[in-house]
Amino acid sequence: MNNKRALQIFGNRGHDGVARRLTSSWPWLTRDRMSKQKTGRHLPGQILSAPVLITSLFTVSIFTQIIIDDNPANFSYLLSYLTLGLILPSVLLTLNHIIILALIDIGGVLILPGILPEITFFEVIPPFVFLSLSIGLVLLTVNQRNKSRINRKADSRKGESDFGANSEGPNQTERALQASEANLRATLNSIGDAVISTDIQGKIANMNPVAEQLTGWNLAEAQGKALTKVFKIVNSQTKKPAVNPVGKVLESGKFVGLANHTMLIAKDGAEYQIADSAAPIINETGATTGVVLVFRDVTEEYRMQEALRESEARFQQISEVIEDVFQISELKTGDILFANPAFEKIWGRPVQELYEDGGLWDEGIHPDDVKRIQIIWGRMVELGNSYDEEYRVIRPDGSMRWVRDRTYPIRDESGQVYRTVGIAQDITERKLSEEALLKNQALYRQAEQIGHMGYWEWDEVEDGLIACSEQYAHIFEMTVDEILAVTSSSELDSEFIHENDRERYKQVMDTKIALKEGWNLEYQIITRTGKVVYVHELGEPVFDEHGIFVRSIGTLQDITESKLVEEKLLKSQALFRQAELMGKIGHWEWDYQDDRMVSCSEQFARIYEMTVDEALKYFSNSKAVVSLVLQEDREWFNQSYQDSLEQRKGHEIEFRLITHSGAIRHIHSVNERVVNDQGEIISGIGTIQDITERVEAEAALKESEVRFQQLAEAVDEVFVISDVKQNSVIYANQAYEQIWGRTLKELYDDSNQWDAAIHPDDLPQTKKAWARLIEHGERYEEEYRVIRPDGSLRWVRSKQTPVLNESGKIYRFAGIVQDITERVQAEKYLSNIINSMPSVLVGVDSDGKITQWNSEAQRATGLLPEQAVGQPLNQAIPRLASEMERVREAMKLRQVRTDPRRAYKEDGQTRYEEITVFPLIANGVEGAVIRVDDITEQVRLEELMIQSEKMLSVGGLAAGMAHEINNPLAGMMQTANVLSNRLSEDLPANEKAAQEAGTSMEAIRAFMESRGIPRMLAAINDSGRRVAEIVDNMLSFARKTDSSISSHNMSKLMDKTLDLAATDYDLRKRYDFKVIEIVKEYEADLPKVLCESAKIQQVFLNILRNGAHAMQDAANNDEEGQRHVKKSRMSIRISHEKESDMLRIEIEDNGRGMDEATRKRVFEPFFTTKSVGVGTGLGLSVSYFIITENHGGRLDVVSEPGKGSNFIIRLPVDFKE
Amino acid sequence: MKTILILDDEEVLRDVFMAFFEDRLWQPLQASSAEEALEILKKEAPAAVLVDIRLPGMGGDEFIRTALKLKLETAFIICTGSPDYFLPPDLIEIPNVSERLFIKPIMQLEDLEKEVLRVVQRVEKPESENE
Repeated sequence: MNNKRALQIFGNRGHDGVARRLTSSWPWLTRDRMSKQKTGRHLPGQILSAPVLITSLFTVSIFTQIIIDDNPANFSYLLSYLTLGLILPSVLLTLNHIIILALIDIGGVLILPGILPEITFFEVIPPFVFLSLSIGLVLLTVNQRNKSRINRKADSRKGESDFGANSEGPNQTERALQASEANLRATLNSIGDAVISTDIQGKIANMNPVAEQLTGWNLAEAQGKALTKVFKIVNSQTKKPAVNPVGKVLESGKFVGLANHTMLIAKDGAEYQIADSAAPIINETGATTGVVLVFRDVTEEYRMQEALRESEARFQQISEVIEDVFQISELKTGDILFANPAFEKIWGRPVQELYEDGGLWDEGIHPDDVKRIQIIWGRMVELGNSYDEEYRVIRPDGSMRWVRDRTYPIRDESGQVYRTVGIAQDITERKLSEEALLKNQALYRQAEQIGHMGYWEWDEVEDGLIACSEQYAHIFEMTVDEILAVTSSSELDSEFIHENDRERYKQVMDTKIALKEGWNLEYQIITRTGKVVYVHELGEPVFDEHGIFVRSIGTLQDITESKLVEEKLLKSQALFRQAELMGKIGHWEWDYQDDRMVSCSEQFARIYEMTVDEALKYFSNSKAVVSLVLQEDREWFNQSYQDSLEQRKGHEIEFRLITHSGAIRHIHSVNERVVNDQGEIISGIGTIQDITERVEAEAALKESEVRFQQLAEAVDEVFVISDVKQNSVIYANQAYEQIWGRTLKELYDDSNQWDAAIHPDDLPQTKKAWARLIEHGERYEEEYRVIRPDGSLRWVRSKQTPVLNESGKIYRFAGIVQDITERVQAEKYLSNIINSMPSVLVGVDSDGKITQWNSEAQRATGLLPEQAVGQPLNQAIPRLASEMERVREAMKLRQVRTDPRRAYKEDGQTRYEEITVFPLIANGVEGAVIRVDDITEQVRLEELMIQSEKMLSVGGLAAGMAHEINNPLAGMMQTANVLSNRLSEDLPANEKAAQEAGTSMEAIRAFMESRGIPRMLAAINDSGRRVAEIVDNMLSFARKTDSSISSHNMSKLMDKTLDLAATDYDLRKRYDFKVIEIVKEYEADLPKVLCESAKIQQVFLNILRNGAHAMQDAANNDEEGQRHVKKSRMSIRISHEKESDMLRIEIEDNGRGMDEATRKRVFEPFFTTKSVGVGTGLGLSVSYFIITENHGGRLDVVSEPGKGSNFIIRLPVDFKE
Repeated sequence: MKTILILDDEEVLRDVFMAFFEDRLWQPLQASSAEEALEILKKEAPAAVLVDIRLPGMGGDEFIRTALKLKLETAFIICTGSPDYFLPPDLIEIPNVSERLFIKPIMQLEDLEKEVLRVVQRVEKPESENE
């Protein structure tokens, strides 16, 4: 406990008082004070001037500050200083106020009087700052007056305190007065206190400026005047003149302190609270020569003290009221530095014990919580963060309190956490009420569920339910939202309250509300599914201040079960009574001679609500019988009675009688007459049977049937009741005619009408479902189409439920059939759209299982939707297995993913498809739709387009070059031509020139033959011809022909070309076309094709030549490998593709074939696989150009290495340029 | 011996054509431009002119049109190196102008001579046909 710094308070009385009071409230202050008292001296305090403090303040916090100062001058100085720094200071308060502020959590600026800054600022205030973030820092300084006093004290090192209560005072004054005159004057003038000196008569001798200012008298005026005139003092509380200290001093010759509550009234009437003292002026001889009076304005101090007293009183009250424990503890030692008395209340242990042992705090914590709190504490120590925890405290007496503990770390100047401060709040009540609430809620829910009871709240102004419990809605077989949507009372009444009870319900409600009473009634409701439920409602109306009914709350309980039991009981009792009555039908015996009833059974009497005796007494004559017959029935009762008497026969009659209590009973009466030998009726016996219930039931049935009829006719759905055995329709309503387009009469006549109208495609499925219904009583719910006589279709949904007879066997079916055509059409419309899309659309869920499968998907895979749905994607379309990654990615990123060109092999052909994966975002369904488009054609077209463009660019180039090549070529070839003419032909000029040269043409020819000149000339010609051919071919890419187009028979043209090819190859001797086996497959009746025959022939020739080359190469290759010579065979097929109206000409060889790379480039100009000089590399590209550009056809090649190549020419039959 | 004028701006080709027709017992003349050819035409009135189309200065077509205005009994046979050349419509159906175009290189010069003779005969004949 010695680790605290001392609280130091300056030694003027006012502040001592403050300290005393403070320490009484704050024990840790007390101890310090006591230690001071033990040492017997006040340690000099460190005084921080305002600027220094402000500087230190700014290093800590900028926004909120607390200023503690008791000097208004300082305060205003700080105020302006802080305002400059954008800080808003405010109230003037004391230390206690700070604590209060911290506790009640308000922000602001505090000014504390005369307490030494350092201790308060760094030790006391930070806890509050941390506790309540809205309070900033404490800035404090001693007031200027204290400062000056300290300075003065320092000057007069003699050790006496100044105006203190100790008796050394006069000595000090004496010494001061013994100083030199000049010094004295200077001192007097500069000290902060007022000084007045008097002579021995008490007349004023001197005054310093402060005294002048306070008294309002200047020295000149005052000198020589009696002190009492200038220095008017009164008791500030009683306003009575106070004892003049000067007189006292003069009287006693001793130092006199001022009485408390002394007020100085200045010349101008201003009042100052002063503290003063007077001492005698003693001369060297020791005689008193006068009095010196020292006083100062303590108005401010006085006011402050008063305020402090008041604030402390307030604080005392608050701290008594405050029930939260406020504590400060030392981190290192774990000691509790401070805790307020509330600790005792919560922990149930004295605060003093806590001071002695800080561990007491944790000891009080519930064993289940203490570990958690210690861990959190440890974390706070480690990381310096605050905590806010709730835990239980066990008091020594075993009772438990819930505590909310907010603890904050405090850092010292170096930023090190060294203390913690916390507030522990007793939240037991809250906790318990929370628990109780939870428990209540749980209990209530349980109760609701067990009791089938629901809570509701009705708003009369809104005319609607505004709240209800789940159970309440459940009674109506609705959700809370659904039932809350039913707003108006009329709606609620008419829809849910059973019509039998509606009137009564309304009546009770109206009466009870008018009486401002709660209600308690039972009635029946009809739930959404049409179930009749008995409910018990307890309700309480709520009225506003004007007495208007605004709301009602209550509960609703489903009492159907108990009601049913009750009803059953009633029924069985009724049955019993009935049985009794029926078993012993009330009988009577009448004596016609005496005209009175001679006997009757108990039951007879009971019907009349009489005892047997009463009955016998009552029915003393026949008039009495008639009198109890209902008026309306009397006439025919008499009639029938008279008739029976006349005919002397018994009769049977139904009539109504009035019972003893006035009730009307329907009676079935049978009687017999006993006739004597004279034919006179002697007596009669008979029975009466109360048939009231039967009659009423009949009437009710009739009514109910009428109602049902009305309902049935009003609805759009078909109600149908059918008989199981007969398999016939017993009842159907009008709606049948609307949907089926057939009359009910037809249906009743022939129940097969029903099924006959069902669409044949739907019939098997409905029959199966029907069979399941009959055999197993399974729920029947089918959607099917009905064909009306006019051929139009209606979609219906039929729901059928079995109706059981008393023995629990199905004997009927009740069904409802709804016209769902419009809904189905909307659905179909959507699925039609999906199905008519030319792309494969496959929906998958997040597991990759198929959920959707459109027609195109079915067409592409051959799988039916029923087969595909539910299957994993990679099974349905194996080649999409590799796409699952993309699908998952699309779902995860919710972004469309595409694979724009995906190649795959099918039947040995490369096909292309584009795959797009769309994530499904709507309605929370995880999944994706995969669209697969076959883009093979598109890709081919793109390839072809590239070809064409290449060719066209070659063509453009050739057109420019041709002239430039042709001229020199002409020079060369034509020269060779003339050269050949001149060297070999028998031209006269040749002969002549030979003779002139002394030789003959024969000799020259012989020479030339011998030297091989003709062959060389032919070589020039040949080469020239080749160049010319290339140029010509290249030109064909560019040249727009205007040559005539006419119809040609392709088979004939092909045959002609084959002949030509044979000679062509024959001539060249390079390979023998004739050894090639030609297989022709020409379709009969081929249409003619509009084309340029020469060009088409050129194409055929090119392809044939190409094929021959390929087969030649294949043979050569085989020679290298095994000695296996494949027979070269060329298959030529011509057919008509009717779909596209194109003639298809296939030229297939069995040569080497080509790989994919070659196949792609085969139509490229100058692309050749033949050795240099063998081909121009233009043949196929020219052919391609002719077919596609000139004839609007297509030229494709299908080929695989080792399997030959198949060139497919397609020419439009009806070609238009 | 009939006269044939070779109009071609390329000397090598003129020489070849000259040599060929000389050997075939024609009397060949030559001109390297249309203007020069027109001068010769006025003086010599050859039976035929072998006309190149692309020429410096006046082109082959224009030369034929100008020459036709001289009302000479001369046949014009076009021989050009431009494969995309077509006979202009105003020169079609004119008997003096050969409808067969010769594109250089001419593989068989003998074909050329045959055509020249054919057109020369056609030009000479009209009177007899009229008779």
